[in-house]
Amino acid sequence: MSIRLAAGAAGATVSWRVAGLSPESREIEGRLEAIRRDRRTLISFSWRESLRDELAAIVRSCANAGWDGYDAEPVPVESEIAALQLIDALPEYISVPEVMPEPSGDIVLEWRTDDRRYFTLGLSGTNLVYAGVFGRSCKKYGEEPFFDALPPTILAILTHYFPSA
Amino acid sequence: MPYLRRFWQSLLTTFLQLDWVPRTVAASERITRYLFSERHVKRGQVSFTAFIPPKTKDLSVYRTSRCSEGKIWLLGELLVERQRKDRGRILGRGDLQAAIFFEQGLKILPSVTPHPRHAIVIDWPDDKPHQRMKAIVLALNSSLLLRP
Repeated sequence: MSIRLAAGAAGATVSWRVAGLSPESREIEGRLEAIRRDRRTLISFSWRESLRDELAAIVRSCANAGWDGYDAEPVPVESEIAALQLIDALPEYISVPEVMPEPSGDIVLEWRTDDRRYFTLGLSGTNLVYAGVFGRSCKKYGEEPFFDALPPTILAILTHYFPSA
Repeated sequence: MPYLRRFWQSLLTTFLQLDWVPRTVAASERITRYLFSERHVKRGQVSFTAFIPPKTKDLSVYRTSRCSEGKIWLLGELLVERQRKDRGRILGRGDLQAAIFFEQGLKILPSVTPHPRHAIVIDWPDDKPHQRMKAIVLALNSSLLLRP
């Protein structure tokens, strides 16, 4: 394996890796991949952890009826468990959502960008409930069964509209 | 001093009642949803959860066309905030045109109590995805105004 360097625009240096064929090169490549994998795990662990913290804060602050100033129901333990399941099922390559409580006591994950992309995902019983607006006219909403992994429909929406920065 | 304050507030509430609004809600009217929870205000925008109706499926709003800024906040303080048992404060409000509600197939029904400008948004669908969809559209089209 070797690193090649070349002059880029405005004096910038551009480099790329060329995988070697020798056993040593393959071993180095394998170790590098392991390091990259560990780094990805650590990053995802940290945002998952912060989402869990946010969820715990929501459960505390929305423990009483009327927490929204109107007629909201308290967030029950079932909603917290459902949200934890959902957080665990999120892929690593998407942007980090916000955790939001609904007046019904459900917890919803929310993605929103400045260019009118707005998507919400929640777990209601054994069904995933999703709804989103993507730009001026594209709307998608519905329900999908949830078996510990996100269905392709929802994965496709998240990957396409909310990739990690 | 608390006596004077209470007297002044009841006087203001009485004067606020002397208001007139048309019986039907026009598409061009400004509709205001008062926001109490910091969860409804995210990154300078109104969250869709602010527009999700309660179980009774009647979302409380105010018709604030031709009201000064001061009057809009006063309506919120005296008629919405004071109704709360926990004495929570209004943090802001989400303003949008009535037309956005109508485009979503929702109706705005004037409810007169506790004030002629009070109204409820009805005709929400029963299923959650559809309901959320409408709330998202309302949130995307509303402007957030934080309480001064």
